Amino acid sequence: MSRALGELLHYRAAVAGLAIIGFLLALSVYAVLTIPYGEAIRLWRGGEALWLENPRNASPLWMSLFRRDLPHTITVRSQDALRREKDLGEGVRQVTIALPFDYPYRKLPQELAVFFDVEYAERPPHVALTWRTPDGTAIRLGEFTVKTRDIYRMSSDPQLQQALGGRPEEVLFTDPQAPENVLQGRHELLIEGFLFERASRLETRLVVYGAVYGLAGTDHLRRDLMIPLLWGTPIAMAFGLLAAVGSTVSTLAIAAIGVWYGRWVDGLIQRITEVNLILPGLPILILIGTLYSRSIWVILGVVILLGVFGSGIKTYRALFLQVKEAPYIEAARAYGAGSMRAVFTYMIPRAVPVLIPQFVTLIPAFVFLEATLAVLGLGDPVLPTWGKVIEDAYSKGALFSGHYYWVLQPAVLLMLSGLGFTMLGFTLDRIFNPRLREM
Amino acid sequence: MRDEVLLSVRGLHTWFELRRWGFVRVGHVHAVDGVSFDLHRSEAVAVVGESGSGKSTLAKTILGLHLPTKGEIVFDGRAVHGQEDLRWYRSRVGYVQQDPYGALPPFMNLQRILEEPLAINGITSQEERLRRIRKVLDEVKLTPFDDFLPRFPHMLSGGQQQRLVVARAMILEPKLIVADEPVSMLDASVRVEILQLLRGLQAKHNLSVIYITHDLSTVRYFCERVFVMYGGMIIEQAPVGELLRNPRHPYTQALLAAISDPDPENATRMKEVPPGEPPSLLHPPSGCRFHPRCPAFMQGICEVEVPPDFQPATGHHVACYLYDERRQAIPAASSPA
Amino acid sequence: MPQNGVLSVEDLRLYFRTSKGPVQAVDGVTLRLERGRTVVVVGESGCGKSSLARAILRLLPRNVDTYAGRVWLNGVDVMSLPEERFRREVRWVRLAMVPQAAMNSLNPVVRVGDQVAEPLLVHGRAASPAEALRSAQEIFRQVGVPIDFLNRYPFELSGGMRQRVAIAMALITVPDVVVLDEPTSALDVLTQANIMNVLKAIKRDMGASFILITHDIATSSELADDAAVMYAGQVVEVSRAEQFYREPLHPYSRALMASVPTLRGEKTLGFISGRPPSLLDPPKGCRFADRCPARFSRCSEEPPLLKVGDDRLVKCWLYA
Repeated sequence: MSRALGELLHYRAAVAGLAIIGFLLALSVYAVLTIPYGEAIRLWRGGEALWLENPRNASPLWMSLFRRDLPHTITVRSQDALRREKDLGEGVRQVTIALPFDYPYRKLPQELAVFFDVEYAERPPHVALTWRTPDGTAIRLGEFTVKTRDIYRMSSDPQLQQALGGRPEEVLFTDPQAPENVLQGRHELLIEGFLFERASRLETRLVVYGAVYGLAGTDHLRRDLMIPLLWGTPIAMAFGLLAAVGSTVSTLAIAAIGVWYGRWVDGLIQRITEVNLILPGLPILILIGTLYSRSIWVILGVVILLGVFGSGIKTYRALFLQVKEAPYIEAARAYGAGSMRAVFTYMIPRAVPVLIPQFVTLIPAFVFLEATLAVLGLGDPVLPTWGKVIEDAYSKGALFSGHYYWVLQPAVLLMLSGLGFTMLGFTLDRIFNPRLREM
Repeated sequence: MRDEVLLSVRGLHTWFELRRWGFVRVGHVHAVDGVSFDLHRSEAVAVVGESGSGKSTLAKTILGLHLPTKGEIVFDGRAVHGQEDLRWYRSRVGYVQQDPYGALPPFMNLQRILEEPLAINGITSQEERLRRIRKVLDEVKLTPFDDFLPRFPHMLSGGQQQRLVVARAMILEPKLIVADEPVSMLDASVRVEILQLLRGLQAKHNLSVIYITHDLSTVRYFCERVFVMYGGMIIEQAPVGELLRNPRHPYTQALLAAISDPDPENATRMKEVPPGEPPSLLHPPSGCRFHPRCPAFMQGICEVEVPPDFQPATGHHVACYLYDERRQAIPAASSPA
Repeated sequence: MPQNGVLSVEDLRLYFRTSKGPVQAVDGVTLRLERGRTVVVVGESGCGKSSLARAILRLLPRNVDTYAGRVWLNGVDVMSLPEERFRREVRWVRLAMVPQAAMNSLNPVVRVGDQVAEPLLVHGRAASPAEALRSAQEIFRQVGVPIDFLNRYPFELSGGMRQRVAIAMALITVPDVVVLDEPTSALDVLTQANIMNVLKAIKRDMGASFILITHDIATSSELADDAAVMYAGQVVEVSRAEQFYREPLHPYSRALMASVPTLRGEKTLGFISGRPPSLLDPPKGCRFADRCPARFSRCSEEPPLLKVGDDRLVKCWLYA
C-alpha cells in the first residue's frame, strides 16, 4: 500500500489530482466548520429578510480585475452619524439625523434604500427625507410615517421616480449638466423625524447598493454565493463518495457471489443486470424527482440502486471467472474453506486493483449526476448545491444579463472535481494495472 | 501398520455433464471411468498417465473437490461422500498442486497463508497456530521464520513457493498427501529437492502419498507402487521395480519406450510410438480404451468389453486380455534396455 | 572463423530496459551451427535461452536497451541489415522459428492450411495461393499431418497436431536454420516422442539445421549433435553431444545432469541449492560461483570460454 503511494507521487497527474482533491476536501472542512449545517440552511432558505443589505446580483470581488471601478456597497448608520434632538414639548421630539458619505466611484450605484428601526407604543414617528448632492443641491425625497421595521426602497418608489424624473440612483448621482459624469464626492441624506412618544426611538441606515459583493457575488435573492459554493463542496463530495461506495461494494459482492455459485444464480444476476442496463437512468431519476420526492437522500438511494446492477457486474464477473479457476481457490476448498470464505477472503481481494481506480473515477460521475438533476430543476429543495446555483442562474438568464460569474463559479468547481478525481483515478489505474504502464 | 488400508477406492466414476447453451445435455465426459485400488498407511504410490488420462480428476475426486458419479471412497474406515460436511476428511488430506505460484493467494503473506487452514478448521489459539506454523516451516526448511513469515509469494523462488505449498498441506497433520504434478513446473535442479523433501516427510510422519505425474522417470525415486492410467481407468498396477523391469500392458510398454534418458545414442534412432491420439473422454472407445492404437489388438476380444484386472505376477495387475490365463497368450513384454 | 557453418553467432548481447534498470538477458553468447546439424541450448528458466532465440531472429520488444553482436548466416552478416531487408530476406525465409507454446499461438480464426501457406505468400515464394497450398500439403505430409486437416481450424486439432502445424509453418520456406523454442514441453510423453521423430525425419530428409532450445535435457538428446549450456545469460559450455551427455565438464552442467532422473540404470540424484543470479545486476566474476561446489579463489574473476580438447569450450577456471 505505501509502496503504491510512493509510486503514485511519481506521476504528475496524480500529484495534481491529489492537490485538487485536497483543496476540495479542505474547502468542505472549512465550510462545515465555519458555517454549521443548521446555519447554512437557515441562511440559504431564510428568505429575503436575511439578505436585505446585499446588493442583488452583485459581481464577485475578483471581477474588479476585469471591470474597473465597480462600486462597493456603502452603508451609513445613524448610530454613527450626527444627530440632533429638539424637544418640542408634550413628549414630541424633533430629531435631525445627517447621514453623509463619500462616493468615489465612477459608476452609478445599483440601488438605494433607507432602513428604519423604530420603537414606539402607539404613535409611529414621522420622517422627511432630503438628499444633498456634492454640489450643494438639496432634493426633497418625501415624507411618511415609519412602522416598526420599515424599508424605504428609494429605487422602487414610483412616485419618487416621477418626482425626480428618473431613477433615483441615476438622478441623484449624476450631474444635470453633464449626465455622463457621475457625481463623486460627499453626498448626504438628511432625515428629519418627529417622535411622538417619550419612549420612542428612531434609528436608520442608508444603504447605497454597489455592484460588487464578497468573493463570489450574490444571486437574484441577494444571497451570498459563497454559501452554496462552499457548502456545495461537502455535499457534492459526500454524494459522490456515498454513491460510489454504495454501488461499487454491492456490485463487487453480487458479481462474486454470482460467479461462485454459477448456474442459475449467475444467470439470474446477469439477466437482472442486462435489464437494468437498458433502463434509462436519468429519465427514471427525473420521474422520481417529479412525482415522488426530490430529497437528496431519496435520489442517492435510487442512484445506488440503479448502479448496483450496473456494467460493473459484467466487468467484475469477467475478472472473477478467471480468479475462480485459480489453483489457490481449489487448494482452499481442499482444506475446507466454505463458499462465503472463498468469495470474500479469496476472490474479492483480487478485484481491488481494478476496483480502486474505477471507484475513484466513478465519484465525479455521481457529482455531475446530482448537478444535472439540480439543473433540471429536480435538485434537493433545501440544500445549497452547485447545481442549484446553476439552475438559478439559468432560470434567471444569467448569461443574458452578463452575470457570467454566476454560472462560471459553480461550473469551475464541478470541473475541478471531475478533473481531480479522474487524474488520480487514471494514474491509479496505471499503477495497479501495469500492463497500461509505459516502459 | 503398513498393511492397514488407509484409503479404499471402489468402482469410482467421475463424469462431467456437457451442456450446450446452458441446459441442453449433449453427453458426459468420462474423466474417471471405473477406478479401484487400495492405499495402505505410509505407502507412496504414483499415478502415471498423460493428459486426458483422468489422473488429475482422480486426484481431485479423492480430495473431495469433485463429487463422484458412481463408486465409493472409504478413508480410515469412514465413507467419504456419505455426509454433507467433509471437514473431518479435508483436515486429514493435504493437497500439493502443480503450479506453486498459482496455489498461493498473491495478496496474503506466508503467515496468513499458513493460518488459513488452521482458522478454517477451528484452531483459534494464537499460540497453537504459531507453534504449528513454526513446526511446519522448520520441516520444509523455510527458515529463519521471522524472515519468511511476512513475505508475499512473489518474493519467493519457485522452489520456495512449492515448499510453502507443501508446508500448507502438512499443517493440519494429515494422513494422506495428494501431490498433483508437484514438480513439473519447477526447474530440473529444483525438482529433486522437492521430491526428496516429500520423501523425507513421508518417512518421518508415516504419510501415505499419492503422487500424480506424467514423468515416469521420477517415480523410481519416490514411490513403491505405480498405477498407470489411460482413458480414465487404471490399466496396470505394480510395484515400481517390477513395472519398470516388466511392463505388461502394451500402453505401459510404449510409454516406457518413449521416455528418453540423456543418451547421445538417442539421436541415431527413431522411437516406436503407437499411432493416434489419447482417447476422447466424451465418446470413449468401446471395450479396452487403448484398443484403437494397440499393436497387440485382438479383434473380437479387446473392443467388446472393458478388460478386468488380471494378475500375471503377485501384486502386478494388468487390465489387458493378453494376460487372460484362459487364453494362454504370450505376454509381449519388452523392458527398456 | 565466423564464416564457417551455416549460422554463427558472436558475442550476442540483448539487454532489456526495465523500470529497475537493464536486464542482461543475453550477455555475450557465441555459438556456431554447422549445416545439417542440431545444436541444443539447454538451461533452466531465466537463463536467457528464449531471449537468445528472439535475439537471433531479431524479434525484439520495445524496451530494448542494448542489442549488439554479430550474426552470420551463410557467411552474410545479417545483423548489419536494416530492419526491412531483414524482414524480407532473412526472417522466416532463411531463418525461421517455432516459438514456445506455438500450438497455442496459431490464429484461431484462420484455417491451418492457410496459416501454413501464409509465409510463402508474404515473402513472395509462391506464384499463387493455390501453389502455396500445394506446398503446404507437401510439408504436412512431411510432418505427419493428414492432408484433409488443411481445411480445419486450430481448435479442431489436438495439441500434438497443432505443434506439427507450427513446425510446418516454420519449414515451409525451406529455411537454412530453424530455431525451436521448447517444442515439446507442453506435450505428453507419447506425443513428444512423435514430434521428435518428425524432427529427426526432417533432419534426415531435408538436411535441416536446428537450434533446439529446451530445459528438458533428456529429450534434447534425441536430436542433439552439439550441446550448449546457458546460465545467467551466458554460454558456459559447448560440446559435441557424445561428450556432453556422457561427461559434462562445467560444474553447472554436471549438477544439471545429476538432477535429471533416468529410467534406465542406477543413479543417485542431486540438486543445486540456491537460485540463479538476477539478470538485473549480475555478479562480477563467474556467475555460478556462489552455488558451485568447486569454487576457488580465481572464480571472483570472470573466466573466458576456454578450449578443452579439440572441440569443447568451457567457461570455467578449472580447465585453465
